[in-house]
Amino acid sequence: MPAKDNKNKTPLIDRGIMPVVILTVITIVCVAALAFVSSITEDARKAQELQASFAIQLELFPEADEFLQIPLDDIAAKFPSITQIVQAIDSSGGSLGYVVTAEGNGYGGELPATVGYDTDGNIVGVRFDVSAETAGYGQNAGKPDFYEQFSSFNASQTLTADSSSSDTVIDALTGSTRTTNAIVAAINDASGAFQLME
Amino acid sequence: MAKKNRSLTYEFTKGIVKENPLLVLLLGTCPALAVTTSAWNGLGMGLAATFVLVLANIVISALRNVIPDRVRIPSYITIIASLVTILQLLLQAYLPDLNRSLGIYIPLITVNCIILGRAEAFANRRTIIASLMDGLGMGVGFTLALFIIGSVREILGYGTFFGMGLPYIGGDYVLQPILIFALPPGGFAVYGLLIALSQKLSNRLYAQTPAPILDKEHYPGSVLVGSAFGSDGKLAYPVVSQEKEPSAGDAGRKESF
Amino acid sequence: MIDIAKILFTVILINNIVLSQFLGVCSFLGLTTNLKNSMGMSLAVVFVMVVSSAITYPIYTYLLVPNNLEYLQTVVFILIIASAVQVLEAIIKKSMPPLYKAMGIYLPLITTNCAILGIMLLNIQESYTFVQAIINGFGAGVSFMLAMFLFAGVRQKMSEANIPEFFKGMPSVLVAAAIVSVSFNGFKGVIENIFG
Repeated sequence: MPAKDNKNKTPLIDRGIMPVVILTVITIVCVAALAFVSSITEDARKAQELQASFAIQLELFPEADEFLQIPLDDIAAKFPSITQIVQAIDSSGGSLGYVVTAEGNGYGGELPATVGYDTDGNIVGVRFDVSAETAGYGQNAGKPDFYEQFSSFNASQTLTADSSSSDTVIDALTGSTRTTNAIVAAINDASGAFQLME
Repeated sequence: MAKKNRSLTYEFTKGIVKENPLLVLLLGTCPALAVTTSAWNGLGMGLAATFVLVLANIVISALRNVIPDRVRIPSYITIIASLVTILQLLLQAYLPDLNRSLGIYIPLITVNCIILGRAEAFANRRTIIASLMDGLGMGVGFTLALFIIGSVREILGYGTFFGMGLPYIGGDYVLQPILIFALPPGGFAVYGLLIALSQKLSNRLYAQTPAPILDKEHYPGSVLVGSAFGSDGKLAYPVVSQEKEPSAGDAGRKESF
Repeated sequence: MIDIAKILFTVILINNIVLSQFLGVCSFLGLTTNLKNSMGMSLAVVFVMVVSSAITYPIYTYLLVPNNLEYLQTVVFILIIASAVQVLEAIIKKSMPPLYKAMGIYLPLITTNCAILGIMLLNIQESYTFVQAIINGFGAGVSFMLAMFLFAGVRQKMSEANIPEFFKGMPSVLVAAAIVSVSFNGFKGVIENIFG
């Protein structure tokens, strides 16, 4: 450490306002380094944040750059089972579609169903949280070979598990009427909400 | 211990056992207790702190003839805080899970006594290479101690190790995890027991009830960190004499920890 | 009003800053040998907590956030704390010498006390309002003081005890701290029942 009192001449860095100047220089360099690191990590950090908050939505719209929350107020009145609606935006700011999350009343309780619609109302995919359902029965709804069938439908169609009905019939889950009905009701609600928004 | 410049290997190895920051110098206790709820957290925190410690030592050592004495503490703090923020940004971008489990203890690395302590005691008067080795050694020692504490607390408190369940513990077995080890009291206790163990193994009583921390009489002007004091108020083990020429202001400054 | 009481209750008892959140442990272990040191340090901590909360909060909310500079949070906060401590020391030395004698020498140490920086960061993380942040800061200081006082008493008793050889010093202190920490565990669950 530079000595101060023993020598006749204080070293340059200790004289006058030099300490403050040096401190300021150090601070500026540090802040500049921070700004640099912040900008090079910005994309990675935003992607992580997106992944953390909208993991399911990202599965349905992998090309989405961000998700805008849509306020539920009027929709909640007509469709009280809807818990969340977000709009998927791509990197150029254009809309890719919407993701609606509705809650069905499953065998074990709440059965959240997340449905992704493109701008024409076609269902791009669905995901279900079947953790409360019965393993081997209701929980099969979480498997791709069940939920993939929904990607061929549109929001304008009312779905049903009843093969005698005139509505669009889906392949039901074997041995899990309650779960199937909950899922169908949730998706119908989601479609209804989507159509309200258009 | 009156030799001036010890070998680089010594500077590295001393941090692991002889002057382990957590067990001997008693520095960096806050994270030691807070994040060691699992082996992975302890390891992650240790590596994160080592990253900052090594870089801070290098930078401060490189700038040791440029930073004026009067503004040395604010300068060190700025440098250390910036390094910690860089670490935080990198973790947010590439290791978000670790970022989430360590929480606010990552920015708190800024005030981790080890880093400021080593800057004050070592980096500001030794060469870059020596400071690098010192930082590495201290970091490794710190990580090792954190890993041990974290593992013990995780095994005893949750019955898992690195998140994997252990055989014969939990479930229907006789041995059940004892949750309190994973809670704050367990942190204090395991840390204390580990110090007791290492005192016994090294056969030295160095972690005595410390004298008042700010001992201006012996250390005028220095930011006294850590508590490696004996019960008679003197440092518990021999002190290396100062390398640079002493001045009136630096009269009492020894290689404090 | 309930808000304030809740915050104070939580930070002082339920999430005691030293015994539950592990902030400020270095000073806690080092200074509790002596009641006078404990008191001096705690007073200084309360001062600095309140002053720092009052300064860091507006700077973060009105300077850093609008300019997308949140990443400067740590650097700015620690520099504010360091400066606040310097200024506080100068002011107290000049205008209140007896107070300076009681606690002024602990002020420089507080800069590196994890508790201060920790609480400043928590104020932001918990999205407190300005007033809540100050209350939290004050509560944190009191929380620190409570832990210090309690533990100083414990250590005084311990100094007269016969401690096994390799437990002398830090190990016994830490195990004692563990026991005191367990006692604070008893407060969990209380807040929901008091404040509904």
